[in-house]
Amino acid sequence: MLKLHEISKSFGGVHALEDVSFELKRGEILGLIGPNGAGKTTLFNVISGIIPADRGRVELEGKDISRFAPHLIARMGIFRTFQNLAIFDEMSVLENLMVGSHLMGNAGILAALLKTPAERKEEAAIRARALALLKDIGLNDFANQPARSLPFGRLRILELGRAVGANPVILLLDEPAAGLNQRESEELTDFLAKLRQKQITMIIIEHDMSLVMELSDRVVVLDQGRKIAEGAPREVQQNKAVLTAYLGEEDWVKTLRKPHA
Amino acid sequence: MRRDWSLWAMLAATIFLLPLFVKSPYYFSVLIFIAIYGMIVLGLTMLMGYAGQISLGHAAFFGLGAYFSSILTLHLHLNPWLAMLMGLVATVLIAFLLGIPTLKLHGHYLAMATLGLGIVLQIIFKEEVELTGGPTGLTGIPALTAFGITFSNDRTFYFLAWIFMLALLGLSINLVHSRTGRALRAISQSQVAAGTLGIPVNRLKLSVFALSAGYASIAGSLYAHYLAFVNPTPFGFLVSVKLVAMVVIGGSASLWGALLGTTLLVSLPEFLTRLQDYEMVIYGAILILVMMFAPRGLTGIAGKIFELLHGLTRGKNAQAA
Repeated sequence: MLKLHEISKSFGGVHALEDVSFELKRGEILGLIGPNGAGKTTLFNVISGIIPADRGRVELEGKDISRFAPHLIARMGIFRTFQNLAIFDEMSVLENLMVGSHLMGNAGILAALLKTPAERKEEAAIRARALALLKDIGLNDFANQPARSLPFGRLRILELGRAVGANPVILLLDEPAAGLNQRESEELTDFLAKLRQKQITMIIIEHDMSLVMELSDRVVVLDQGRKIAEGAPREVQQNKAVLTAYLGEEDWVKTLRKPHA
Repeated sequence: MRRDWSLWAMLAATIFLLPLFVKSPYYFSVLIFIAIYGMIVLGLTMLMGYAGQISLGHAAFFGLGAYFSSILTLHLHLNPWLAMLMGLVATVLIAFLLGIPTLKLHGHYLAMATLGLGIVLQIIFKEEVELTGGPTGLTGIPALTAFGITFSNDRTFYFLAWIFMLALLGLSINLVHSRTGRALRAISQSQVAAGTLGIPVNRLKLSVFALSAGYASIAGSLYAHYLAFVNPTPFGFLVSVKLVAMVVIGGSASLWGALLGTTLLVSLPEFLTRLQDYEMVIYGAILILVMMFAPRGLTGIAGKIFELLHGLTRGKNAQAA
């Protein structure tokens, strides 16, 4: 459903992405891995419309969305999380989730000023949805606390919940497990497994190889802006180019080689 | 939301009871100016505190409202209410035209564009003598009338100005607590995140900018009909800075802060004008100090004191237990 066609992007003289192409099928979970600086986050930024690609096309269901602004990409159903989190710190946990359901409403600024019945109805629906979500992600007790008062692990979950609340067709997760402890990481894996049951298509950037290998249907490997491998997790683990790319990063090589990681 | 509306009701009650105690026309005129500037600051607060943009030309929109009302009633003999409405529409339109190209850019281009607009309009107010009366201005602007009442003295105009103020405050409370209000706060905290959640960042910033210009225009029309006289001075750059100072001092992310900051800075000048040229220096100093030591303004300080007291009593309870 999502097709990347020869995406290239450079910053100054640095080729962050060079002719990256791959396809994402409906309901699929794609792991996007690669050493630091491989261009993974840049690729997410291109897909979500934050930075335009220099060359290449992003197509959703055959429609070219390469030049769409971020909010239009969101309208197409593509939502994301951020590696460094993009939580609205000064808002409550509940409000953060309500912003996530922004697209459930249509009321404009005039309707908001006059608080028309239609606007009230929308607002009630958004609140109900956010409250349900709050339960799903286990943050019930924090509903009215400012988001900034939450520990990092909970913020990750909150950000993920916010994106899920938007009813994504495609979800882009940028290192969802980074900074989580063992228990939180397991909770995350469970949550993602639930999303998988709901047939939400996902691309996951992750350094936690066991998580990638467990969840992904397919894996794409980037190195220095190029795609160096693509295939089933097992195949990629054995791929020579991948092992070379990760050379010098001993731990990763170990996890890559572990047959049932 | 409920808290805001109860505060609103308290304010409304105070406004209607105040004339029982206040008799001097001078105090009425101060209260009228608080209402008039309060409307502008209310709009500016939504723009600055909620959408995170700065305008250095809001006095110009205030002036547009005042001059549209004056010119349309004096030269074309239009009904003052109709003139006010036309001024509002025209001002909002001008704000849109200015905002469309500037709000697409990142950074504080809006501040520069509005600064420029202010300067251009100031020149027009001064030089288009046939239309605006030039530096001496226009006199004899008719009073507003409704339901057989002519709002020509301080006492009657006090009610009119505050009815407008309370109405605009009510609309603002609605907006702030709506999906759009949330989206605005999201924009002020992270444009990127807001965008990726489907919020049309530029369009919303533009709408609020136009809305705030509209508030200023209404205030301007009221001003013209209240004084029955307009000249270019009250719509210049210095007033724009004063308006920003009112927002910042009150606490830019709070509608009540807007009211507080306005009240303070409208009542202060009695003292400050004696310092004449130093007036701006003092505003500048206040702005810098607030930014440095109390970025959330007076409402922020009030909140901190409240938290502190709350903490103290809680601490005592804990000790008792």
